[in-house]
Amino acid sequence: MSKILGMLSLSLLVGCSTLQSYYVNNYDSNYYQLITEIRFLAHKNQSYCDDNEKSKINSIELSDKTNFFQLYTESVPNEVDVLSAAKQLNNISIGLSEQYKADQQPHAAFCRIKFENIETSAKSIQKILGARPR
Amino acid sequence: MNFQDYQQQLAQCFSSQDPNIQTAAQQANNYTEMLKSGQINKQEYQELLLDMQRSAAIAQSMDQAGYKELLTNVINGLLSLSSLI
Repeated sequence: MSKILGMLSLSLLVGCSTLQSYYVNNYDSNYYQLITEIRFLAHKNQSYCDDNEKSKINSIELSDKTNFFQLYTESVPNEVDVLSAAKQLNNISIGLSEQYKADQQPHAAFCRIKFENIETSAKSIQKILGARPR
Repeated sequence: MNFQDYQQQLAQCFSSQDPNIQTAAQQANNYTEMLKSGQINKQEYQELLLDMQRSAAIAQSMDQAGYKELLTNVINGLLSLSSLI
């Protein structure tokens, strides 16, 4: 039995071409906190979309955070999938803040949907980062 | 093709078996209605459609990451189990 399990384990390792390519990083509390803050702010900011001035500040603050999250991810080894997601999340966030920066006074409905989109995507990233082994 | 033509195509997606496709089609249809009624402008509409692509890419990346992590856990579990026997 032990031989069978040993061989099964070995064949799984070899089948994965290299163990490195399937290496999973451990839980990182800074990382988890950052994505949680993004999700939290995106949720909270939806309530202020009728206030253009406040939403401008909120959207810029949030795009700074998503940019920080992307930069944090860039140099972490074995984070190809999270980096890809972080870039897209930052693009979603920038899409709102740039409109406020350009003084285009986005519609409140647009503001709310953008923050919702950030919240939903941040939640799916948070789920992965939070489930990592301690 | 005009908006109505595309909305008819979206309506076909509502009967998809895949709930993600149904949701996305409904979302695109809602955005189109919002554009028509003036709740959002053209630039915002385009940005929201781009967000749909970005969100789908994020979901795909996280799905892949989830499977990788599951596989790693299984391999580690098998390694531990085989060393105990």
